[in-house]
Amino acid sequence: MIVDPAVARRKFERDVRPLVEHPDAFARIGIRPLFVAFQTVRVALHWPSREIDLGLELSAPDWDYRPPTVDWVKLDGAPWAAGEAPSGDGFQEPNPNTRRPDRPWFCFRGSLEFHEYAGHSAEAWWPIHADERYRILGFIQNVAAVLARK
Amino acid sequence: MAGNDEHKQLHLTIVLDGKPHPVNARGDTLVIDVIREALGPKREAEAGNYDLVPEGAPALEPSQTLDAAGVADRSVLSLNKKDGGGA
Repeated sequence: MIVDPAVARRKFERDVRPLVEHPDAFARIGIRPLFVAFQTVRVALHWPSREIDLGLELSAPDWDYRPPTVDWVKLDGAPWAAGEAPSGDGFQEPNPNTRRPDRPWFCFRGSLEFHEYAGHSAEAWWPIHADERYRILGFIQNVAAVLARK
Repeated sequence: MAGNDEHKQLHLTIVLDGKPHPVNARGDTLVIDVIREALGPKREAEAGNYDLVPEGAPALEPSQTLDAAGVADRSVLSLNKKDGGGA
């Protein structure tokens, strides 16, 4: 860990509070909270065209100095099979040139994999880290919206 | 059209950037105006780049009123950037 865990925890818990306090509102837009505790948020996202729910897990041990790692998972947190994950529109296949050589990754601002991708050297996290669109819950809402259109 | 009882006040929840916001609007309010209000003064000029999406349904047509679009009282809507996704 880079950040003092007490600081990271305080910021994390502040940022995910709306999801904890208003789970019904999120569920009605297709975001169902499954597990929320520092340093992890796991939600079920509805994929209308497949009529299934996918797990999306964010892990942010150094919040908000570094953005979270992001994974598709099963609803219980087990890894999601790469070949069954959504692809396109920022949902990337495993890539040996990334931090995720064997797992799908998210080419979305606000994920560690995006900001540490070699081709994104001009897309640093820090200049946008305070923008709510890219913080934890804004990121999740964006992913849910893109998934709903696929 | 104050006093027009055909258009009731709707109590909506709009989720923007991962935060639910209460929004009250008359049923004859245009969807695009609801989007502008929800985005606030700093971002209202970008309203055309956003979709207002009710639960389990396609995005609302911006030129429609809430009543014409069938938005019910106590609805929860997601306000999403149209070009959201991978950068």
